[in-house]
Amino acid sequence: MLLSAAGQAILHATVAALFVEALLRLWRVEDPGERLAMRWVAIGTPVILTTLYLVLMPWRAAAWFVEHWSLFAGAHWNHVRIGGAGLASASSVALAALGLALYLRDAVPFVASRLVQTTPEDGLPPGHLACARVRDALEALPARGAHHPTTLTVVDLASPVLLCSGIDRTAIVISTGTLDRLDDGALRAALAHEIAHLVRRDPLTGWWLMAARTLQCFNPVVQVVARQAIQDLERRADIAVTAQGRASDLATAVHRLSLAAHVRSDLALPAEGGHLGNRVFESAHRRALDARCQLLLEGALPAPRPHRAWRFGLTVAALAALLFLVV
Amino acid sequence: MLAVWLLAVVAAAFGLRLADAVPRVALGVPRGVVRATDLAQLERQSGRRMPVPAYFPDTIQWPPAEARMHSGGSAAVWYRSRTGGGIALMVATAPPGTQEIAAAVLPASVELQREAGTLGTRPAVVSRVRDAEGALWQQVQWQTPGQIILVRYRGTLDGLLKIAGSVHD
Repeated sequence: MLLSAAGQAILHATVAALFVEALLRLWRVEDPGERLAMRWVAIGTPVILTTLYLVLMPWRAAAWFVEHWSLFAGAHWNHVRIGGAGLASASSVALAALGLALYLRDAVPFVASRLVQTTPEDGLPPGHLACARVRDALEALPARGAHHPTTLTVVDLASPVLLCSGIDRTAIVISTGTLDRLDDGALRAALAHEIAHLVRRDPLTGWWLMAARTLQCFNPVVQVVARQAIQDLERRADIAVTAQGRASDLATAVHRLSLAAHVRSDLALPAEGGHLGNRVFESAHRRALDARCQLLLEGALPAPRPHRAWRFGLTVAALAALLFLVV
Repeated sequence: MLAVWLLAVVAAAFGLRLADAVPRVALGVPRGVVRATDLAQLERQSGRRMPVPAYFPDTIQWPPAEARMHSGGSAAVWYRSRTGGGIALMVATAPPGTQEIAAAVLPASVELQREAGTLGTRPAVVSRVRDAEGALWQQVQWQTPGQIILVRYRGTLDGLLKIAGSVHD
């Protein structure tokens, strides 16, 4: 029963993610805000729609519905046997294990960073030269007033750190290692990027995404789509910086921070070397980062497109209908 | 925008239907039908004892060539001819409460003639059917308190009634 429900959640998430991706491409949706909203549909589908269907419409599992109405029935794949087990059940177990591995890959370092303090809690005194440099860079940014971070902490650390956090009490943490690597223009662009995150309350979105991933920790599709959603958050902040005319400075910041070891910033990627599996991930990550720099250097802003609410509504309606017929 | 959306929905529905058909095409069975490895497994899956005629002509080969189960509860056992002429006898059942035996557990056929009759003390329907290859079959179907039973035989009507009459229902 539990395996069947988990299998259906994975199946529904797969259909939803592919359908959303197809529509994003067919409609040529470039606005990361809209892309993010569509990703939420794919992430929310197995949590909301699948649960609703399983609880309120258990008759969807009956033979008459499966044989005469369903578009796709996972049970049919169970007729193919592998070592005495149905293919659908075996796949559900394998995919659930993969989902858990993907979840733990991100969750373990996240929890470990909370338990083991790797960044000094105490920042440099406000009168320090490094603090003055960051304050000057923030002063030079437009529309800082209400969106100015509540707390600004400059930590004395050789490795680059640049993070924003908080929802109502916002904070930016930056290390001297970051300041050493960035010139004034790149520093202003990097800070503008972090402020763009705070303006959009992206730390809250990050927590919601983590909650969805935890709730669906067995679902590999949700884990992948949540990572795509993070990329959309980054792209949205990049666009805000591009609109200020600081795109090339931000590309410089991204490039310089990405070259450092032990970097802790949403602007960077992991260091080279290590295990083969890690290298594969790093290679993909590096390509994604190169693409991000390329987009920044092009400096293009997505053109606003009308009917966004309609596109969202049509996507939800189509998925509700399609997944009703996927059992 | 709407046309693209409609295209995506139709393509998704078609893709899902196609993916759903893969296992049954690979296994060579109609939608909703699964093969059982033997009679014992079929009985476990259906939850009923499959009737086996006490009179079993020498021309029919044992064990069964195929055992099929439909998701609606119907089940069928196919027996091959000993002389190598393909399937020659089928015994199918459906659980009580169902209207008829699911056509998917039997090969496609066209009914040519049908008459009401009796089998022992029970009312029965005797018919003649032609399969997709043009071969003629005799068929009898009757109902017991426990299930609907159908026997289809590629031979004479007398032979069919002898086989069906020996079924302990």
